[in-house]
Amino acid sequence: MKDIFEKFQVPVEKSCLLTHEALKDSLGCIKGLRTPLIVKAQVRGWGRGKAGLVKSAENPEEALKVAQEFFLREFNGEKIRYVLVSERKRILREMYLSFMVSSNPPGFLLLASKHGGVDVEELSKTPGGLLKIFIDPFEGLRDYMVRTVAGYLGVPQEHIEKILRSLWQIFREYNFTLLEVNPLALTEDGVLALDRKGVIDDDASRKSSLTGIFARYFSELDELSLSAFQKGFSVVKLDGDTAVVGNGAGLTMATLDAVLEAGARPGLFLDLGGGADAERVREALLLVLKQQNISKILLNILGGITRCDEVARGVVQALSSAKPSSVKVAVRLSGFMEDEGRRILREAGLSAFDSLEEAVASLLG
Amino acid sequence: MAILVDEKTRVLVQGITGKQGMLHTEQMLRYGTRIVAGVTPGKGGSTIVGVPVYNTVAEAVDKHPEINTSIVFVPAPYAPDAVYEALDAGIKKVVVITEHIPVHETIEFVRYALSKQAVIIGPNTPGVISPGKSKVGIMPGEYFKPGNVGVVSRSGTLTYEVSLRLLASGFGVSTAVGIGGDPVTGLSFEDVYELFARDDETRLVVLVGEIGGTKEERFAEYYAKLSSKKPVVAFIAGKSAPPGRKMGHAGAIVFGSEGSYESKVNALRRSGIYVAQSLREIAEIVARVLSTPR
Repeated sequence: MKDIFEKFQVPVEKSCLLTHEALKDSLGCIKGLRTPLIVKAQVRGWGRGKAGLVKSAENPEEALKVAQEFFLREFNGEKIRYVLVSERKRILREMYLSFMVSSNPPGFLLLASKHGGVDVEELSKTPGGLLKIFIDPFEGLRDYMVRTVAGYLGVPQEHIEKILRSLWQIFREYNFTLLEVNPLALTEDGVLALDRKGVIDDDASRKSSLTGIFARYFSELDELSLSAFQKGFSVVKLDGDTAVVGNGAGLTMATLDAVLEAGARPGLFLDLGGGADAERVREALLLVLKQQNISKILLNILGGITRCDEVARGVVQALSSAKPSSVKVAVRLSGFMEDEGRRILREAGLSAFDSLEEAVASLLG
Repeated sequence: MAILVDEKTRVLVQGITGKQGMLHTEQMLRYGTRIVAGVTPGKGGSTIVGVPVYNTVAEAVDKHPEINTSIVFVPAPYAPDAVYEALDAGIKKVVVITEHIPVHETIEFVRYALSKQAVIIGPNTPGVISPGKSKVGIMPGEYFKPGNVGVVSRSGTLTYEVSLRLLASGFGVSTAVGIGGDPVTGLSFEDVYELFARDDETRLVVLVGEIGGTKEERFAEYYAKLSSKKPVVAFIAGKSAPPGRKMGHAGAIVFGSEGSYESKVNALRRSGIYVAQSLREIAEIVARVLSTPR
């Protein structure tokens, strides 16, 4: 993220990015920074400060020690792979700045606050705590918006102009759904974007400018998430023993809810997406069968753009090649090409349920 | 009556020669939808399941001025361009089935449609069906029978599930609208409810939402302020989803309390909307509300 900010000339603090493997070689870089220092674990998600993953250090050796300690820790179940050591600036004032997607009305929002360090949800609850400006995609960031933000934050326009324009460019170019600078700090060196976070739209991954970012993202995924992403499934690992596979996010979620309510324990959520053919269904089921924690699979399919016959073919192929002995499978099949789907399952010695409730009950019985 | 699509709907299929386009054109025709033309650049002059194919939307509209609705089956990288083409040719209703369109691009064509007083349904939608009149979408037609329940949903397959359950309990549907599963869609719950409110046939609205975003909360806020209202029965999928994880849709993610199941259910209840705890309960509540004299 910091690389992108530097590329777009957003003023940021001087820093060194550390990896566990090359930790020892980083001392030289850290020695080039002015002390005191601040050490921050690079993690996905929010709440890093509260988890104790941001610490101060008075000298390079101490920073290295803190980094070492961070590399042994986890955040939201993920290993910490990068740690950023930067110059600790004397902060006169902390502010907040972000761009995000607005769903209604459709467009973008520019958010600014005089208070930094807190999350935007908190800010929006304080009266006057948050300035919200709607941006039309065809209009873009206008001069008056920059003036409004500078006036609201109480900083000279020239300090904020460059940052705002670059952030907007980054937000649009990289298809962020949320791009957040928190804090945006007024320091003795002027206004700096001291901490940066963002969410990039998965659906933009084919954009060439995003190749590098997505390559790094993929390198950090576990095998399940990676193969799921490559195949276009949406997968969430849970801690129970029952895998829930459905076509469409809403249906799969409702199936998960029904499984939980019936007293079973969901262990995996897999949304096939729309229009899955036999090959995709086969791949999805093989992926599920590879999971050690799964002993029951509930497949809930309502055919629309997805064809029930294709699904049935995929199920038969997966089960005949993997031959799971201890995994119980229940299939609910309904909709487009349902009769053909049922015939295919029947010929393979399987049957399909008419309703979700029946399928869930059969797994519990 | 019905909303958005009815017996007067005349449809253009964009991407008609693709696998999905062809298959569902056939399905829609079988349902009785009046499909008059298709478009695939470079495939003009051919005929697909009896429907003439043109190279451009302008050409199709020129030959068939009765076209008033377009359905887009074009793959994500080219879908936005197809939407602009339809809007520029003067089509006022565009149903975008395509999923995985980057949200920045969706925002652009939705805003463009607004400037043209046109309506975008979707993207990532199963479409719209007014049972017995017209189906502009990919839903299994046999799940929907004519009736007086309006259905509006963020989820495609869940729309089928809900309608199937209504049907099993003896209720039919006036129109079922999939607004689309993406974080940004052309139609909001409020937009669709407003259409249902003006539709004589619709006596009650079933709203199918899910965790993530604030679409349901916004609807609750809007509904609370209405002076006269039709009853709304809501169901929210994702009660059991763990926070911070994306559940399938780009839109289905919960950060903090924002967009959570509880936040949605509380907002809906406070506004006088019935909330079904399970799929089964939807039809039960509908039966109860509709049997109460108005």
